[in-house]
Amino acid sequence: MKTIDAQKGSALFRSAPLLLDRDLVLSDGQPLVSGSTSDRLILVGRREGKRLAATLTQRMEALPRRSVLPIDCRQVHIMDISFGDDAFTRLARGRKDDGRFFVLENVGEELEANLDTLTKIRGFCCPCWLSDRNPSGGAAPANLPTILGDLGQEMRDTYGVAWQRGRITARDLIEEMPGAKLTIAAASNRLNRLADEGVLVALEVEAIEGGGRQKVYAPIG
Amino acid sequence: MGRVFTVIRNGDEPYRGAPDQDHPMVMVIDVGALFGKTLHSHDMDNFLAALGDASDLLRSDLPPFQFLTIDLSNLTYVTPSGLTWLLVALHALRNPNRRKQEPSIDIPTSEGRQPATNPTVRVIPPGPPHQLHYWLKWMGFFEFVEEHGIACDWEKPKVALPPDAERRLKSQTVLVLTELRTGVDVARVVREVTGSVATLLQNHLGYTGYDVAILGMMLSEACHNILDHAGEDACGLVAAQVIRRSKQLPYVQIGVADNGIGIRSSLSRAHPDASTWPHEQAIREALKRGVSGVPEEDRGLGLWSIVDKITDYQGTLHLRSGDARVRVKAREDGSVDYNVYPSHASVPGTMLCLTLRKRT
Repeated sequence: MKTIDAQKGSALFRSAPLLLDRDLVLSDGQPLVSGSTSDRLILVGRREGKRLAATLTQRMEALPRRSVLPIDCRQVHIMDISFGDDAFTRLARGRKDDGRFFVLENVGEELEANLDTLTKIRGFCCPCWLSDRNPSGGAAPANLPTILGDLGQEMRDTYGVAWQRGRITARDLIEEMPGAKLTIAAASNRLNRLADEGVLVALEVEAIEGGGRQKVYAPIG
Repeated sequence: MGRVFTVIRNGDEPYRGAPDQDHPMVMVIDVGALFGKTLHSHDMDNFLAALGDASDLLRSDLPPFQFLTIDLSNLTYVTPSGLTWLLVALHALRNPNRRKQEPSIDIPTSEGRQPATNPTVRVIPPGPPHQLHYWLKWMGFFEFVEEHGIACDWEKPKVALPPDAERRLKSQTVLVLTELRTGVDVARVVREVTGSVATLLQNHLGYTGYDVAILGMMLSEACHNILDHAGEDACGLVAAQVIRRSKQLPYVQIGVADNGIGIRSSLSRAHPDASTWPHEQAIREALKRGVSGVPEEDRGLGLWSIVDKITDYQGTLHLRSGDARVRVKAREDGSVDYNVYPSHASVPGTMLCLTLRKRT
């Protein structure tokens, strides 16, 4: 195989993590209360979620296209649907067109439950790094993000393969998942679907030795 | 009717003359006799009916009553949701016309008449060592009635809780009565439930961190609805408790009530035709995804998300507004049943009772 477009964004720019803390979200003392057993934050209400969305949008717009903004959630304990909806849903829906992505990091068990509910209700997916466990309760591979949202197991497995490889094409996927007996069309569909879900990004189109072209994807995470 | 309440003159002493300044008309509603010792949220129907019956007396030759006494002394238990609606009702009854824009309880009479005068409301709670007295004290009942100018026959109790009562109450209380006026109040409520009492939920219901987070989310949505939809001057209340009954799975019950504009009026801000809907229809619409009183895109998730989650917890949701109550009950197959209970009287604001069991 010969890459014909290798200079065009062969990797995603990953910015420094943005800590979701009291200073970032608090502007008039309304939305946040420190937990009684910890200093973690309780985030509730649409108005407050909108305020965070404005901040996040500003930060993401300052990044180059094809970049990832890690949002460090270690200080967040709970987030209600209304807050999360206004803070993240629109941002998530704009990812594919905008070419700027976000990933949530250090997501605790409680926040994971809230975000999992939100993503399933709103029908979007979001890669995140859990702080101590994965949603199914089993041991999560330390080097693989969890996808929050309604995504079938085969698509999660496909994302896992893409993550391990760093970049992936339909032919790579067929090689990596021989048990799935994928055709080129089926493999392409899977990768395309994951790109639609905002957990992969199409980096480039490369020429295939012997004729033809194929898309190269990279995982968001 | 006589079993439920009595009309007396001059306190407990029979008086055969015409009422005057020294011998006012006093109406007593014996809540314990009316509700069979336990006051649930759905007892609001009977309570309002009793008020309506009482008001009917105004049709007779009797002069208007000047005092309305709510006698709780024969009750043995009040559920958290029963407590929140009772206090919202008392709050509305204490002086229905004190401010024009503040909603009041609409008490129907046979001729559609309202009381000629606004009675002074007085509440008689049970005294110690009645367990309900300790529970009311623990939940903050006496502070609420004092702060809101509701006359209470039991003056601010000086009796300290016995240590065993305090231990017992602490072991089942998820949230004492809390007023909701700002987003900070809601966040504090969520912090309380997901923080210090999470262990209690774990011990009684086997809740994991996941379950507690879902509970906190549902609670937040229910409480935030008051701030978003009840109107500017509305007063909201929330309380929650773990309830254990023999032959029943333990459950947590959350009561949320406000004296605001109610669901139909709220919806009519975004859907003008909603003002003509029956209250029952307004409640059912409000439970649907995407239906909201705020005319913005993508609203209307809060109540729907609560309904969506109750199936995971064998839960039940009661929602009352205006003259209707709708019950949403989870079925074993993951679907929900809707039942409508029309009422004889209209209440101000919205009342919500959420019951959740162990996650299935």
